[in-house]
Amino acid sequence: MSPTEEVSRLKKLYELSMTLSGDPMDIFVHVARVIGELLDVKVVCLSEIRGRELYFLSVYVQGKTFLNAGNCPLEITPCATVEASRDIQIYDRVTDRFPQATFLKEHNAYSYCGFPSLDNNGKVVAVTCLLDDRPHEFTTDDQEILRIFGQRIGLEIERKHLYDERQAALIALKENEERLRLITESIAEVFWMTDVLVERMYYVSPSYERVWKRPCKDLYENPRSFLEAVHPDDRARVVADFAVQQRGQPFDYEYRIIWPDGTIRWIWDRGFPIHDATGLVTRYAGVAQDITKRKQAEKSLRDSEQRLELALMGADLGLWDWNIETGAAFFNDRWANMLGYTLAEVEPHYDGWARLVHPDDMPHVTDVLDAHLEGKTLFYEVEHRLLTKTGEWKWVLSRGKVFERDSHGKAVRAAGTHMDISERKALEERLSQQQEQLCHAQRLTTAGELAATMAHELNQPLAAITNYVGAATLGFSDLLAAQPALQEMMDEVLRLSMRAAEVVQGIRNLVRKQESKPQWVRLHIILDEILSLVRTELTRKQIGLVLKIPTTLPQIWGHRVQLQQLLLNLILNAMDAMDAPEVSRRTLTLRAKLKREHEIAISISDTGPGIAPEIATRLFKPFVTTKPGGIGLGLPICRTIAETHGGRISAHSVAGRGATFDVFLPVGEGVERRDS
Amino acid sequence: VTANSKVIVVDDDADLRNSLRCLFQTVGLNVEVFGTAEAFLESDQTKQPGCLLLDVRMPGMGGLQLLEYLQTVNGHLPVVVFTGHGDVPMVLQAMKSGAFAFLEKPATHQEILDCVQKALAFDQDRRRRDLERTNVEKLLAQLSPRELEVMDRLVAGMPNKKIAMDLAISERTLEKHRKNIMLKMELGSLAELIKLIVLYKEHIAPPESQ
Repeated sequence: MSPTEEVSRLKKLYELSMTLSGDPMDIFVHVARVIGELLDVKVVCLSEIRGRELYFLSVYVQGKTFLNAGNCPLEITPCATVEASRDIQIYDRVTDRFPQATFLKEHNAYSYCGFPSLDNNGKVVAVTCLLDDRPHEFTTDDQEILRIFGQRIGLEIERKHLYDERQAALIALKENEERLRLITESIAEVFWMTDVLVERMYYVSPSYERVWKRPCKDLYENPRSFLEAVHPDDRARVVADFAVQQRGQPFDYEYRIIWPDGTIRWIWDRGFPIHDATGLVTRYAGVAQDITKRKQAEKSLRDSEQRLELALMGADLGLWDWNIETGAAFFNDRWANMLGYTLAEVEPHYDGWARLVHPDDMPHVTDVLDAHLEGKTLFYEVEHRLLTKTGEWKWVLSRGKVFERDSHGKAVRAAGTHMDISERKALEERLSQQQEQLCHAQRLTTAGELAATMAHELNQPLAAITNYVGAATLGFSDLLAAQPALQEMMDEVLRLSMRAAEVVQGIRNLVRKQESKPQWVRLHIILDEILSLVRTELTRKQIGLVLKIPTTLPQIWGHRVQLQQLLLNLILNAMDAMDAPEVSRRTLTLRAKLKREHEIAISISDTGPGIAPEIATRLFKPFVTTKPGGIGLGLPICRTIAETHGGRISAHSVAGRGATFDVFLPVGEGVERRDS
Repeated sequence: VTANSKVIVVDDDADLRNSLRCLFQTVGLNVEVFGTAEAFLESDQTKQPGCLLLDVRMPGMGGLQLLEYLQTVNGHLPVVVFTGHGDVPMVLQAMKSGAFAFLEKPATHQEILDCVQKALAFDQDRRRRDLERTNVEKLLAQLSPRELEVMDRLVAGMPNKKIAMDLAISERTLEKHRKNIMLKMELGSLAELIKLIVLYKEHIAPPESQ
């Protein structure tokens, strides 16, 4: 072959090699082989310089090629001189000259020819060396070809770098995608991306199928098909929101969907506009989430709040909720209304309450409250007065409990209720007044009746004495005439008896003076007052009350307090009688009826053991009693009262079945006429 | 005071009733005492000649109730109410129930005796009048209806002519009736008849209405 032929052949080869494309590594392998075969060298080693290290990308060794055959420090190799000179370097006995470069020894290199490849910036990025175990001559043409190869290799190195970068990017992208896929497919939320008009579905995560119970495929075919599942009541609203979407604003709404099996689920759907480089909204991306559980929780919370509100309303309770640290307080409407304020008029703070508490009650309230805050009591419960808007004091029962404490046990939050107890308080007040009045009147009456009772008891023997003296005076007049001293003594006995009788009479008159004036009294009214005093006791003793008192009975002319005392005594006796443990059924029966048109018969019956026969005959005598500590004046006084009213009292009993006391009181003549 | 009159004492206080018995016996009165109203009623002496000295304050039936009961008994003995506390309502009540008199304890023996004597006298007088009335009624019962019509007109002072015209009978017939009346009434003259009937109607007959 002529040199010209040779050159043309080389050029052809070169052009052929230029047509090679594909993976840079393939090209490196090919290039190494072409050079090796073309220039007939034993070894071609194409190496990339990274940092100060030499990487053997492809190695051609006597017809065989190897990829990525290792690396070695650049400086110990002759390639370093190629890098430094940025031109071809040719050495003989190269192994001797670069003894540290072991690869030279391995290939038993004698000659060396290395050429550089440069990048755009003129930096040497690769060195390709040709090794042979014999001397080898490289002609100028050879060197020219190698330079051309060097350029090509430089391009390929750059391409390889780009390729590697792209590959890395691709891998990274793939990993990202995989991660995203894993996320979107495994989490419960539905990710979606559509166009602005919701006419194209770019993406929807598979969880759509779980949340909507509809295939994703349908959604891709018709992005608005998700609407078919939306609850008819909510659908119009959701569609209307597409308009919002078209204005390029984010949206956030909740709606219901219906599963194919009819189950209704709540969805929380949020969408965000995605802008392109020009700022135009081209897409929407969003998250839809099944919030049924949360909704249910909300509903049950709302329900329980409603229930609480209802309960509070039903019980007519005011509610307070106090943040102890900040002093902030919540009050409900009723809390304020109870005191005549509107809610807006009450400062929602501890002070708003504290200002209204009656100053006299405050120390006690504070004590009770502190005790509870310190954990000494299970509940906070106290009755106190609060200032109403009209300036009056209203009694409330405040009850509450600390329900949140910090880690040191310090009370953080407490809540409770207010109950309006002003009526109860007024009733208590009235009752205690009544009780006091009755007590007072009773003391007077008791003194009076005691005196009257004693007067009667003294009168009897005094009357007997005068009778005997009288009888003696008459029967023994002869004897007395003969014995003037005896006559004198008899006269004295008579005189002193009368004097004693006068003393008794004096006491009785004195008592009578203190007595209240008689008045018209209605039986059912005075009985009501008496029963209000004993009702608690009846309940405590589990005594049933049977009341048969017609309100149409004529009135009684008498001393109200005395009559009350008479009835109260009998009622208390009846209750005491049923204290015995062997009494199984405890019933107090009060009856009254009109008897023969001018007498009211009142009966008080118990279901106690009855009256013991040994005292039945002496029942109304003073100092007869069955009660430990009793003085035995109750029934004599009852009797006195009945009799001073022109009435009488009697008792009968059946052993083991109870006793009945009957009181008969006259009604005045023409009572009804006078009354009307 | 007749021999069979009796003072009956009802009082639950044994000392008192014994003292009263002693007092009445001393002045020669018959006495019987009872501890309760019920015991007295049981003895069936509500029409006993005499009087009743009654304590109102007693267990059981009580004095006032007994008094009320006695009101329903025709010709019962008069009742003197013996009371420890002469309160106005009770006195009123007792009066209404027909008590004869009141005595307040302690009363002197003289007051008691005076009061009881009055009651006994009242009882005796009433009995006498009752007896008279019974006699008159017995005589009147023998008259025929026509004779009664004639008698009423005679007592009214109507002349014979008028009576005969009034009754559409002859004067002869009238005269026959008149004779029969005098015979049956055991009277001698018209004046006696008028006196008897007027007295009967005014004083002896029980009040027709109260």
